Amino acid sequence: MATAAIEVDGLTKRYGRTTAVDDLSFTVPEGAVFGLLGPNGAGKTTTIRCLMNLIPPDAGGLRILGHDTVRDARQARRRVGYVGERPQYINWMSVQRMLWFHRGFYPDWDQALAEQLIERLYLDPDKQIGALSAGSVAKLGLVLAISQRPELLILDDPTSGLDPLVRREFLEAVISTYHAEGGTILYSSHAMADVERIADHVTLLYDGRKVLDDSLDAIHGHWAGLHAVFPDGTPESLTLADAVRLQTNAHHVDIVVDGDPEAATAELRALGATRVDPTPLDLEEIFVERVAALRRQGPT
Amino acid sequence: MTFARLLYRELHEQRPVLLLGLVVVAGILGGVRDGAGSPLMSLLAVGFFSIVWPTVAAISAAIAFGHDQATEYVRSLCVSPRLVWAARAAAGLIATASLSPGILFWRAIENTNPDVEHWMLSTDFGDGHIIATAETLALRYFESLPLLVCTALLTFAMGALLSVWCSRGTPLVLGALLMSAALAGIQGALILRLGWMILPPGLGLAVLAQAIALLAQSLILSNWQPRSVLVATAAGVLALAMALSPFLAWAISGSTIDATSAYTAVQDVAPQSRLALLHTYDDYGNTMLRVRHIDTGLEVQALPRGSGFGQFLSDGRRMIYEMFRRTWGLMSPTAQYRLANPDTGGDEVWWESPVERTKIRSATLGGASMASPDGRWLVTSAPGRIVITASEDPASRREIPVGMNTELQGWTQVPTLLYRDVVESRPLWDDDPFAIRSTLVEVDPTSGAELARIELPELARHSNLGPAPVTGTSFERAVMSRDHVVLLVFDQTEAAIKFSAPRAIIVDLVSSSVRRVDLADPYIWVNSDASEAYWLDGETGSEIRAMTLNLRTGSHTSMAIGAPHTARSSPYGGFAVSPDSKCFLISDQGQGDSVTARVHCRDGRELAMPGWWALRFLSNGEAILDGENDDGAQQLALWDLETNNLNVFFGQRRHR
Repeated sequence: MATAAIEVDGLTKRYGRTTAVDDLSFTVPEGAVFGLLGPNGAGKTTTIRCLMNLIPPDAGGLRILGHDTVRDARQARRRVGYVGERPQYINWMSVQRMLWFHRGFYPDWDQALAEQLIERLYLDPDKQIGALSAGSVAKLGLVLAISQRPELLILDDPTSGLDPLVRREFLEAVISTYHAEGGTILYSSHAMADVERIADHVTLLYDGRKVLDDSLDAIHGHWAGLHAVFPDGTPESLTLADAVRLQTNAHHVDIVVDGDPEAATAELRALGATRVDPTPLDLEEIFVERVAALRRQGPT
Repeated sequence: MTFARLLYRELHEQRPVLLLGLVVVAGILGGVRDGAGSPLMSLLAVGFFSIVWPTVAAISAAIAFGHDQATEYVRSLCVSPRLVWAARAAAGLIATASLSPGILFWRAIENTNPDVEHWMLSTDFGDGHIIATAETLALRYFESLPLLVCTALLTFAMGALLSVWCSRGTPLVLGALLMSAALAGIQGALILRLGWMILPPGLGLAVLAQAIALLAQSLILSNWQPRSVLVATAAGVLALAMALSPFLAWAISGSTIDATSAYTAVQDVAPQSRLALLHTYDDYGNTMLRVRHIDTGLEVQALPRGSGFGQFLSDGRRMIYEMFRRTWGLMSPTAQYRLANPDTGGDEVWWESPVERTKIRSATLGGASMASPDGRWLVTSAPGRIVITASEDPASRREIPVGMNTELQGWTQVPTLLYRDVVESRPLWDDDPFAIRSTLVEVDPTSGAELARIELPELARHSNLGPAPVTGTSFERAVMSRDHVVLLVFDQTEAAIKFSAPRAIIVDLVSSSVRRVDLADPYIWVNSDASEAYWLDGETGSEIRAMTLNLRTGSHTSMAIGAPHTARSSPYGGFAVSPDSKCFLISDQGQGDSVTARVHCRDGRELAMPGWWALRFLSNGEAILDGENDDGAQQLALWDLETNNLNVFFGQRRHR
């Protein structure tokens, strides 16, 4: 069994009367690219800020690479690269000066890697940070985080609001320069398509709570859309054990399954379906279906 | 190294404050050099240091403690949060402190202001006197240091509290405002502790303004929330009350003015018009001149505040006086010489000095400004030049290049102007003796032509007056006749001996010969034709003798005048000889504070006036005495030696 890079156990964080994160638990295995997903306000950033000990949790335990994030905050941070949401660095410094400033805090800093990344990501080392575009600032954050040679990289939606080209460059850099060498990544984003491209495990948050937590393969394995054709007409009371949503018509049915798509296919055929076509669901669709199902269930 | 990086970053964040500090320091230093104290600069300084500075300090603290509340980056670094806070605090303090030298210098300057002489002494940039300036400023600096350190720290702490409160929404407003009250209170207490006289009115206003600024800051930073406004207002009122405490204490006690400063001195008397020119201070430490009729005691004319040196002209009615105007308690950079006429009440500007105030040496310390007895000329001495202005044509100016230390000695009866060019070999420390080489120069004021130049013997002199320029001490006096000048000088080689080994240097202006005569007592009198010197000899309680030395022949005579307890002069006046050289006027100080003014004449006549100090003779033989009434109020009186009548012509409350 792989060692956990991050362990979140029963995390709860409230801001006044609002509960931002409610009894959240998940584990990020070492070497994984872990997506922490959810819409804006789902509690992703709060979770990460608690992990980075930027804000204290109200309840729950958090460990990074075996370190308690509150008690051993410095040891944990030393092994973590972090790029925050809309990162704000020191605007009056040049890129070069920023690297100098940052590296002083990290003994494992790899200056050669930093310079290589600066070149690869087309950053001007003499340019002032205040004059950089948002995309360049995000890239700089990545350079700073990766060059300290962390064992864990936490990215809190750093490409939010950026154009697709920059986002792609960013992700490619993450994968090719960091994950390729076996590093663990916690990537938080509301752009699920981005995460889907690189993640091997995701946790979906909604309204401060976890609504899905599994490897991407497993998710895609038990979430599917099925289109069944009934030439003699759709059965009147069609029910399926794993169906999350059924949309019936006179001669065909669209079904979203969370469970065993193959068993559901067999079940449909047994009910008279002459054709059952699987429709792959992307992560965003899965998320929407999951949230819709939760809403239908009502408050728990 | 980590801390250094953090500190670097924090300091850079606060560079506007640092730059501001540097600019202020440079400005203040520039102001000192070029004549600080102009009304504009003074007002700017008051405004800056009383309002802007504490505000900036608070904002600086707010930046240091507040801005990273939103800067996640720094908090996410692999560094102890304590180190980050330490760097912030250090940077905030450095930024705040960067302004402190400015305020220190400003207050150092301000502290020299209440007394014109102090100011003059500390800002004479003559040869070597820059040291005196630095010494004076350093002295004032350390006097003010506790006050300023408290101010800086408390203002900073207040800003920090306010910023934390603002950023976290914690209701710390009460603590912050109590801090501001404490700040004002400590300032007030220290001001009281250091004494009212170092607090000029300008600084008083500054303290008040500062308290108002703190209140405003509190209100603004409280975001005008009703409850916060209420608390802020209450605490602000407390702060104001604390800030006003020195004023209240002064108002209640009514006597925080330094005793010597409140003393009224007789500056000049015109016997023919029976007028006395009195030099006094008002309750705020401003010098004033008052003209009193010595027979009736009526005040004939009160000259404006700021008037200092003054003298009657030979007509006995008009007078010329020097005035430094004050704006908001701070002096104007130029001196005015005005011509007052008590007969008409006239008071007009005669001449406005183009010489920066800081470069004019005090008239009371050896004569840097003086009019000729007939009022035809006004002479002002500044380092490097003497300026002679004819009263008939004030626009005319005749400049005589001189050395950096020049003393106007006065007018001979011709009249010609005498001045002394002085070259000092100044030691590193004041306690060391040093040599003075000086040249006496006689000048025709009409043409500016040099009539005589006489090298004087080298004098070994010692100043125990701290930063005072030694060439202008009041222990030196010149008496001039038509053809002779007698300079009284005092060789002092040990710090503890102030008045030892006086000697007269007698200069024959006709033959340019110079002679030194050793004397016995510093309370020496030289008669008006510079022919005889007089002093008292003898120990307290034993027979005191009045000694007479013929300065031309060197022969001595003496006269027993009994055994007074202390046959010495009063601290305010001196041993004096009547114009006809027949009578001696002394102050005989008995046990405790008792004093008696005594007159001993060669014809055996003796008079005593218990309770009075002897000041001076008038040319008609009357004497002026200084005393107190039963309430301790200072009085000045005219003593008619013929009738033994005493006529009080001036009385005011004395603060002793």
